Amino acid sequence: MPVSNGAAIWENWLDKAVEESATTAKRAARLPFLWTHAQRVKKGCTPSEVVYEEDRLKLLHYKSENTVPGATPLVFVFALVNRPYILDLKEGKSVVSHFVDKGFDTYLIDWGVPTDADRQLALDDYINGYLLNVVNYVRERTGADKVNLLGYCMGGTMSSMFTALHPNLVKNLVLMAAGIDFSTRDGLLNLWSDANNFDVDKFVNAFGNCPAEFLQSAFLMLKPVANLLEKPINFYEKMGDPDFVDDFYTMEGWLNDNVPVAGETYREFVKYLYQQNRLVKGTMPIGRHIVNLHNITCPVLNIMATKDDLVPCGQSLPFNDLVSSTDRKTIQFPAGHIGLAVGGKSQKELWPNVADWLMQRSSVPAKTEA
Amino acid sequence: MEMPPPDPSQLMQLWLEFATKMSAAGSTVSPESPPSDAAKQMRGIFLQALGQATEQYMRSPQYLASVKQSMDSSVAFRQQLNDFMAQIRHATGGLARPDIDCLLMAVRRCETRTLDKLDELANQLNNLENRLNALEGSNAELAIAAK
Repeated sequence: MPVSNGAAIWENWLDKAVEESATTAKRAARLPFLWTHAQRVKKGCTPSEVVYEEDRLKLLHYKSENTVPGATPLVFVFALVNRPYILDLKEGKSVVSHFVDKGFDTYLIDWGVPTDADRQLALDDYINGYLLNVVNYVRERTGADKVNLLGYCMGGTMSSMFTALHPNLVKNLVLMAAGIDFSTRDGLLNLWSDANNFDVDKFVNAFGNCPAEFLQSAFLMLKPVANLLEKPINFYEKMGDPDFVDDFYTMEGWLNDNVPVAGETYREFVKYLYQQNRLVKGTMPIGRHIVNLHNITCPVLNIMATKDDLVPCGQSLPFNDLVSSTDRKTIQFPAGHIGLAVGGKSQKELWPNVADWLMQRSSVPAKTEA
Repeated sequence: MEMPPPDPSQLMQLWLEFATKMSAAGSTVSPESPPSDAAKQMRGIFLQALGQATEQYMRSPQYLASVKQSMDSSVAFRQQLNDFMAQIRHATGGLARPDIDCLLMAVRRCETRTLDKLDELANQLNNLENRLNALEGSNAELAIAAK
C-alpha cells in the first residue's frame, strides 16, 4: 500500500541519517589520535645495514640468515625522483622481503638527496660511476662474477642502459614499469615534456637541479581529481579504521617525500628520452658511449602495470624486441604505477612468481623447504 | 466545489520513481529498498566523469599553451634573480654561482681528457697483450715443430 511504503522509506532514510551522524561523531573523536598516529609511521621494515657509501649514495644490505649460498646477488635500482623505501614500505607491502625470504643476498641503492653542488652530475656519473661502483663492490663482497639487477621506473631505464653498456656484469635483468620508448602520448607526462611545450635547457640553466616541489606538482596533476578530491573524501570516510589510516599515512609519507634531481641528469633524461626518444633509436649518449640495447643478452623480465598513468604500458612494451636475449618474458599486471609494488594483489600474485623466476636463473636451484 | 487536497503518498511515489530513473545508470536502487551506498555510487560516477573531463582539458592546446607561458615566465624570473644575485656578489667581491659553474665545467673537462687518455692507454695495453700472446703462441708452435 502506498502510504505504508512511503512511511517505511522515510523511516529508513532517517535511520541512515542518524547512523551517519553517529559515524561522523566517531570520526571527530579520533581526530586527536590521528596526529600521534602520523608520528609513529616508519620508513622501511626489513632489517638492513649500510655497507657502502659514495658521495650521497648509500647501499643498503638486507640482513638475512636464509641466504642461499652461491645465488647471484640482487641489486635494486630505484628512480632518482623519490625515496627508494617504497620497495620496502611496510609489513605485507615489501617487494624486498619477497627476495630476501627467497634466499637472495639483497641490496638496495639509496641515491640520496643531491645538493646544489651536484647539479653537474649527468647520467654518465650515475650509470658508469655510482652504479658501476656499486655493482663492482657487490661482486667483490659476494665473490660473484655478475649481479641481478631489478630496476623500478627511472631506475629500470638506467638499469637497461647499464646492462647494455656492461653486459658482462649482469646475470639477469628485471624491469618494473621502466620507460624505454617515449614516443607514446598515452601519458600526460609525455605530452607535457614535449619539446614544443617545455624548454628543458632554459629550465635547468635557471634552476640548476630540478626542484622536488616541481616534480611533486607534476605527479599530483596527473590525476588532480583523484588526488585533490577523492583522496581526502576517502580519508574522511575511513579515518575511523586504524589499519586504513596507517596505510594512508605510510603511502602519503612516501608520495610527499620527493627529492630534487641533479640538473644535468634531468636535462639529459628529458631531452634525450622524453623529447628525442634516443634509446630506442640506438643513439642515446651516456658520456662517451652510445647505448645499444642489442648488447643485452641476459635473461630479461619486463613487468608493466596496465593502469599506469606515469609510465604507460606502451612505454615499456618495446623493450623485449630491442634486446638480443633469447630468454625474454613480459608480465602485464593489472595495477597502477605504485600499486605494482605495494598493492595487495601484486604482493600475493606477482612478486612470489618474480622471485621464483629469478631464483631459477641465479646459479643454484631454488631453496628447498626444511 | 472544493478540490480534494493532493495525496502526499502519491507525490512521494512519483518522486521516488523519478529518482530511481535518474540514478538507474550504474546503480541498483529500487524504490522499496534504497541501498545505503546509492549516494556514494553517484558521487563515484560524478568524480570519474570529472576526472576524465579534467584530463581532456589538460591535453588541450589551450591548457598546454597556458602552462608553457606560465613556465616561461617562472624561468625568466628565476634567471633574472640569478643574474641579480650574481651582480650583487661580484659587486661585494664574492663568488657567484656562474663562477662555480665555470669551475665545475673546467674540472669536468679535465676529467674527460684524463679518462680519454686512460682509455687510449688501456687499448694500447690490450693490443700489446694480444700481440704478446700471439708471439708466445707462435714460439710454442715452433718449439713443438722443432722437436
